[in-house]
Amino acid sequence: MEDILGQLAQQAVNGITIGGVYALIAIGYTMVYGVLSMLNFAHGEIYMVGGFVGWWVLQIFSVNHVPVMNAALLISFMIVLSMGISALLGFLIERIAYRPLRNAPRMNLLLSSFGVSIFIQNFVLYFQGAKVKVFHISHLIPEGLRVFHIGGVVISFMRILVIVTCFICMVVLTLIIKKTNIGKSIRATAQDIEAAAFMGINTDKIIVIVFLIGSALGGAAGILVSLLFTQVDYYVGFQAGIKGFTAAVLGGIGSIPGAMAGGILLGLCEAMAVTFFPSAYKDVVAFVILIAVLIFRPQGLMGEKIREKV
Amino acid sequence: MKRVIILLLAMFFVFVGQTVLANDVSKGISVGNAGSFTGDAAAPCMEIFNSSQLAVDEWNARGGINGVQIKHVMGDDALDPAQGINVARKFTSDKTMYGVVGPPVSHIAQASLKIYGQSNLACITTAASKPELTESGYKHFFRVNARNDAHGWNSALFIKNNLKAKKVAILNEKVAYCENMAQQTIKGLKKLGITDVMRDTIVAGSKDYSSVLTKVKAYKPDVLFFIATTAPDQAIGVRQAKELGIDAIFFGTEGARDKKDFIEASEGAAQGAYVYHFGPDIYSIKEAENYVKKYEDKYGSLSGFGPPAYEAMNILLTAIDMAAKDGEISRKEVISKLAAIKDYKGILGFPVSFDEKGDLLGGATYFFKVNGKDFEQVAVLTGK
Amino acid sequence: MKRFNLQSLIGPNSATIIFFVLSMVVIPSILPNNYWQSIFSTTGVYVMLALGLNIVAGFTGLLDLSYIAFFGIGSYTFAFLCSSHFGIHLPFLVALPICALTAMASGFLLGLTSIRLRGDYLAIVTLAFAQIFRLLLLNLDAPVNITGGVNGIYAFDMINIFSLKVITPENYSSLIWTCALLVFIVSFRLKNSRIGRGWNAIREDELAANTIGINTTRMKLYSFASGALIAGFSGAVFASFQDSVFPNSFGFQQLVIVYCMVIIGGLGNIYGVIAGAVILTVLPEFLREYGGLRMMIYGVVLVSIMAIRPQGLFSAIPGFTRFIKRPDKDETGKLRASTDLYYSQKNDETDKVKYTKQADTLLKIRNISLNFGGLKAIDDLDFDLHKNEILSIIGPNGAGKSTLFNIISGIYQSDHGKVIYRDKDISFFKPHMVAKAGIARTFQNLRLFNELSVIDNIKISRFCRTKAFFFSAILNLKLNKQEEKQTDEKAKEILNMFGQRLTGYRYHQKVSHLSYANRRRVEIARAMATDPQILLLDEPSAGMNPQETLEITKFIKKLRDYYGYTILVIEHKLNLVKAVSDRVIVIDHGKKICEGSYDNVAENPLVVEAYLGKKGKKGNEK
Repeated sequence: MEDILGQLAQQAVNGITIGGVYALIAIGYTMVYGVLSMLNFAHGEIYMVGGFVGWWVLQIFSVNHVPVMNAALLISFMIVLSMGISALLGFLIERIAYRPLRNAPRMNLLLSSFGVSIFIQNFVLYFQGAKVKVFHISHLIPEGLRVFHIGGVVISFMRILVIVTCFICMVVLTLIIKKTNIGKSIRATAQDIEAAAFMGINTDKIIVIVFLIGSALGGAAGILVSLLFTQVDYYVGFQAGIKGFTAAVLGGIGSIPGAMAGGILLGLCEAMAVTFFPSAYKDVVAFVILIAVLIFRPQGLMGEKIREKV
Repeated sequence: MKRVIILLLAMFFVFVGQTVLANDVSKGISVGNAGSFTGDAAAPCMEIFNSSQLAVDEWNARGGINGVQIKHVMGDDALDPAQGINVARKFTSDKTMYGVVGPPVSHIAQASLKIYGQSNLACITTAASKPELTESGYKHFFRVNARNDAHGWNSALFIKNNLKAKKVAILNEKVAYCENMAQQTIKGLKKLGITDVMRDTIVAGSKDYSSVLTKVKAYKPDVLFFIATTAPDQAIGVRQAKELGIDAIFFGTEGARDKKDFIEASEGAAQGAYVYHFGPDIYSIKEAENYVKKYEDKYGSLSGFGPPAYEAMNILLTAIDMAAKDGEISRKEVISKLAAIKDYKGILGFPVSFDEKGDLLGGATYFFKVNGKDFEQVAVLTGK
Repeated sequence: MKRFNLQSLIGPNSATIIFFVLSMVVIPSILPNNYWQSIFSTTGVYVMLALGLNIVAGFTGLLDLSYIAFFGIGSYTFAFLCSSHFGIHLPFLVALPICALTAMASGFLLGLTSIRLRGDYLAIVTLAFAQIFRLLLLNLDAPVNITGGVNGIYAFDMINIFSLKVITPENYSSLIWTCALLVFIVSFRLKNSRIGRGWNAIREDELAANTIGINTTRMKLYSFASGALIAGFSGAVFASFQDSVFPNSFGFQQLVIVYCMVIIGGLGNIYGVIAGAVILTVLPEFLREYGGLRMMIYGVVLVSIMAIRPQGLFSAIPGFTRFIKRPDKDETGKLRASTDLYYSQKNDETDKVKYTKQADTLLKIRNISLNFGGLKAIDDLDFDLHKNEILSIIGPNGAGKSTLFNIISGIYQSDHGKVIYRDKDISFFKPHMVAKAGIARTFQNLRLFNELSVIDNIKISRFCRTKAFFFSAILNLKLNKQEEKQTDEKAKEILNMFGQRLTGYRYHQKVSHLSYANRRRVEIARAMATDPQILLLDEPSAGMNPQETLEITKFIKKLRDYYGYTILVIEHKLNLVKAVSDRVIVIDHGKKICEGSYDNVAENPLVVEAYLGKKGKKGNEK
């Protein structure tokens, strides 16, 4: 019994870490869905690009795996640059692949996002190679801080970094959405894009901002996971995308707090599931939960129920 | 409606017209390379392709075969057996093709075995180790790697005798090779009286094994046999196992015998870990120096998948060369020359011969321990 | 007229059949080698697969992302039934229908759980199902080996059809293309049947489809199951052709490819979808040698097609879509002007008065109430509608008039009270049941099936009065033939009532190309085509100019006087109300405030207050 409890505590740590990352990815899906009602399947690839950018920064600023500058500074720089370039990529995708389709059927948008996803994935494959890129992080963390023991539970430095960064990102985002004018405009646009346009909101600009924010968070998730698991390759986006997307729907697509809750919940469920089932069924558990939630509460955990106007 | 038909027919004729193939044998010699160059297994497969390319380039630089430059054709199956079959059909219908390196993935090799076999196109796989592949009676299929049943039994012996384990946890990736390896090892362990075995699976490339490793930690095994295809996955495995404080001995597979992607990538976590491999260390083999240098200059770092591919291509070309000596060549001839290859001395550090099924003769399993920045060979087992 | 008859032909035309026969006979013999033979056969499989998806996604507009799983179910069922895996060796002709039916049954079950979900949610749930399916395929090899796990299942029995052995690639391509022809004919016939029209209606506007008598839930389920059936069928053929099945063949990537085929071809466009399937199977083969670049090109092509031709590559290439006549010419090629069409027919016998208001009640509204949150939209409303009566409902905006219609037609359920139609309580009826019972409605803000032609909009309404089911439609049995003929006649008859405004070349015009007033007329015609007793008209003259209003006023009167409909009408234009009504009911804040003849009502102080506010209110405040 004690064994199981100890294991569950450890799994909770595992689950919250990966859940925080899912939440960051889910926010991108949910925000884009909010304003455009489309599922941006290319979002997973933005996450992947975020990881690659981080790797290049680390590569450029270290000699023989030893960073040439202060480690904390380097990590922050990696995160910021990943977010920046991912945001830029999100912006470009919106411009090139989605804006021309603003009035097209939604299925087209979906397919266009598949196209973008296939392109980015193979672009990276072609120019970066199929080989895994390894992050050498041992010199980024001081010797004594690498692992912490709390009871029987082990928490590594990187996990704490990931959890804290996710938390900060979410708090900042919530503040932006709740307190600023831009946040107000985003909420208005998400509610009714036409009405928002009538009220003098430049909805095109808002859509761009949404893509910038969502992609930046996706990029942040990418670099955080890469630092945590120390590897990135061109194929990580697909799985992460599916998971982030599941989390977004679980929480109620269109709802930002929902995405956060959905991500963490999904991460926890997966980790816990491994304790009781063969780990191959981890994803099955995640999807069954998703289906159950959608059937009994189609708007997701935190989404709003919409009555169709006749 | 007529226009539609004309359009469609025209389209077809255009497509067809482009692929009218040379029937004349002396017009060219090409060799195929079937593999999953896109998708999940792209990294090891590209290493195979690049290594084969090196061999082909060397032959061509020496003047080709009978003065004919060799064409090296890529056939990408994207890790999809259906596409693997298409590749097989494409290769078999290319009349100038006399041999294929690959397919390296067991289940794709299984799917396309029949098609290659029906048109007697020789295949040398460099990594597909599922035993059934050479048990189905086809004569065209060869391999330069040992079979899983040999490795599995040897690994079980090693776990029991050398690592003195009583309780073993086995994690395997859900692909044909790893599944089979896990089964063979468990079979061996049972035979040796070790029944306290936990088995679970991992997903390749998912990068997060912490939850399944947490489960392993609770099981408290003596040895953790981590069966994954590629080195990076095993580097993550060993790293996360250490991080979680699992004190079982980490035992990895042949894919992990990679200094850069396993030892270096795990940044010290791999210290004291064991791996098995079908050949001695490529860096320690004198004959391979030239190849290693060329490869690293051109394509970057090397893991365990390149050398056998280089070897296989050289063996294949040697057989073709022998078959083409008299100016005439047929696919059957290539197969018979391949079967006749005896003690080919290449870069693998052991002489290559095939038995009557096409399996590598006398395949031994080499065991290594990670010591500092290098592997140290600790045992060679041959099933005894 | 010949041409239109031809178009409503039930089967594909001969040219297409010739194409398929050519595919089966000529092409295999001219292909250079086995490799191209196999590509050719694969193309046939994809044609089937894309046609099946076209039913779900194209005809019905359901974003079904588990489609590939049904393909997998078909394949694996075949593997179970025709190999030594379980030691079952059924003959091909027995196994094939079992595979298709198994897939269909799974589709049906899956549909039952998720079909009520809308749009994207359906997509998400089905995607989750597809992922689970693949994971199960991968993992159900332990503890009992069912699916063979990653190793798949291989080496199936040789196909033997009445001692005809299918061995060579040529045999296979003939078999596969025969199957493809079958699927093609089935999907063509379905498209042009009442079922296909019902599906189209759901795609265009689910709610409107529901209110004209289509049981949308059930029809969506049928669509889902039909798609699954075809997927399962092609899955079995595919498995036998590939001689092995693996989980990897049924993943997300394959799904995306099939979707690309359908969308590039144009959703719902059968010829386009076939072309899409052919191109997307053949093209990648040319790029195979380029490895990574291949998929990059694929992505770019996909994005640019979506941007440049969002309606699919083949949507406007002659031959791939139905030929659309120049709208300003009639059958004989004569230019025509539509303005005085109406008056050319003026003095016909339809001006006679055959029906007047009768004493017996047809519809009783009894004390219904409905709250939206705290707002009382309808508050204890109670009135009768007599046979052959024209009853108008007026009241200020937001008074609850349209809500009342929504309750009668079954879109909303009232909190209290009853709707009684011919002594039967219909308050719990779903919209399609209400329509079938004999009450049809129009919408205030037009809910036509915009991408369909005028006549198709009307024909769809015949759905609830016709019976031809799948068998009848696919085999074009007598019932179907008869009904199709009647449907066509009835539709034209109804459109003719509008004084040729909607006839002739207009039959085949897209509704979205019509003028606003004409769209209003089509909406009324669509309601009439369900053979209702009662017509609920929601602001029939909204957006019409005075001339048109006059015309519609006369027409509404004629609907009762000559055709004998009972009419409940919501209207703001009081001269229309005055001209047509036997009785007027005024409601405000969901309450009936007065009832009577137009003149009585117009003088009632309460009505004046409701419309204009309290007299002297301003003065009091001063």
